[in-house]
Formats: sequence, structure tokens, C-alpha cells
Amino acid sequence: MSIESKNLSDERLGAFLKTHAPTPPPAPATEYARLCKKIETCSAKSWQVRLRRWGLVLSSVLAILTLVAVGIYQYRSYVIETVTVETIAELPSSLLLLNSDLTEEEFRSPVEDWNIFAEAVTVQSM
Amino acid sequence: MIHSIDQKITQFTDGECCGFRELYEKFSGPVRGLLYRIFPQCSLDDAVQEVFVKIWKGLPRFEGRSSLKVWIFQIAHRVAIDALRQGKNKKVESILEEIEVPSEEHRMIHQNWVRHLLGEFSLEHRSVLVLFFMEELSLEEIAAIQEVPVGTVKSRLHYAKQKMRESLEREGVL
Repeated sequence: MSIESKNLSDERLGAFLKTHAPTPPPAPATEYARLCKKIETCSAKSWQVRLRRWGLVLSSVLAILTLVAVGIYQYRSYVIETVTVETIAELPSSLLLLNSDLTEEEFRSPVEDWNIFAEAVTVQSM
Repeated sequence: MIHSIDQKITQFTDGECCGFRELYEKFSGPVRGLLYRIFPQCSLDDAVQEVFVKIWKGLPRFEGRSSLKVWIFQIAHRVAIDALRQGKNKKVESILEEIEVPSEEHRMIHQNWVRHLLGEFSLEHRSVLVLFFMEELSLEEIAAIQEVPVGTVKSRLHYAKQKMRESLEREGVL
């Protein structure tokens, strides 16, 4: 950089640039009206976006609730159809006796033989 | 929303502006000038519109951490950078080629010539020169607009001033 360059003060440079600052062409008179229209469109769009977003959230919640309901129903069916049988297996033989046509003597000893138990359950379900 | 925007405008302009229209009338000129000087793009009207749409959207969240003018200039700066990045407008270089360099006897008073000179600078250096000398903003305000540390602004300004001095001397202006 030359000595002259260094001597050229910031003030002179600033004054030159300020004086010769490029001036933009004037804005059309209808610019504000155009802006209002644009903002209106944007606001409408933002409402549409919000509605779409809420719709998405609601449908997601509904889908989750439906899945939970189906799950509960399935689990209930599973409990009724499967777990109950297993629970019966753990019941004291005296209770099975009440629900079966087997004689008391046949139930005097604990249920050890699965075939006897299965027979009891089959009889009960019939 | 309109009520909240009007409240913000009144609050942050110390009652100078009471509504969006007044804010537009006060700042559309400076925004237009800034965009024109920093980013010589063809769609100046559209860029100004985009800035004010963003101001409209952003005003409810504006907390007054910087002055309203700095915040508005920051939005204008971002809009212009985005526009240049997306290549919506013509490239700066190609536009600058279209700007006629004034004849020898008139060039010192011709603003297009300064614009042409500014076009030789990178975006950051052009921006810092315009904001510092033409908009007369402080280094801190420029740092906020450019979203860089003050030290970076100082270094950019130093380089830009040096290059501008050289250009002006080369052309025999000063």
C-alpha cells in the first residue's frame, strides 16, 4: 500500500462514499398494497399450515388410541382364551370338582395327571 | 396478531410509529437502499417485499435485544444472502458487468461508478463498507447484522478500507 493510501483518512473516504452512495430507483406507488396482499396470502397459508398440523396431530392421536384399543381387546381375548386355562391348572382340585362331573374320589388327590385335568376342563367347557 | 404487532411497533419505536404501515414508510427506504448497495440484484422490489413479510412474521417474537433498525437490517441482510445462495437472481458479477461505467469526466459524481467499485469487493467487505460509511452504523451493530464477532467486522473493515483506498487512488479520485 502506498504512503498516499495511508494518508487518505477514514473521514475523507467516508465522506466520499457517503456523498456517492448509490441511490436505488424509486419504489412503485403500489408497493404497500402489494405487500398487504402478500401478507394476507402468507397469513392464510400459515392458517392452512396450522390446520394441517393440527389435523395431523389429531389423526396421529386417533391412530394411537385405536391401536391401544385393539391391543387391549386382543390382550383381553388372550387372557380369556389362554391364561384362564393356565390359571385353572393352578386352582385347587376342590374348585375343579365343583365345576366338573367327576366324582369326589377322583379328585381326592391333587391333580397330577394332565389328562385328568384336561378332561375336567373339557367337561367344564362343554 | 395485528394488535400485538402494533403494540410491538409502538413499543420499540418509542411511539414514533403506531402501526405496520408507518413502520413500512419509515424503513422501506433504508431497506431498499441497503439491498441496492450491497446486493445489486434485479428483483429489488421483491426483495424489499420479502424483508417486510419476514418483519411481519417475526415482530411478535422480537424482544428488543437490538434496536429495531439493526433487527430490520439483519433480516434484509439474510434475505439478500439467501437470494444470492439460491440463485434466484442474476449473479452479482453478471449484473455488475451490465452497469455502465460512467465517462471519465463524470465518473466522480456518478453513483453507478461507486456501485461498480463496490462490486469488486466480496459480499462481506461490500456489506461492511456500506453499513459503516453509508448507513453510519457502529461496529457492534454491523456485527449484529452480519452475525459475526466484532473482531471479524474490524478485520473486514480494515481490509475493505484499504482496498477501497487503492481503487480510488488508482482511478485518481482522491
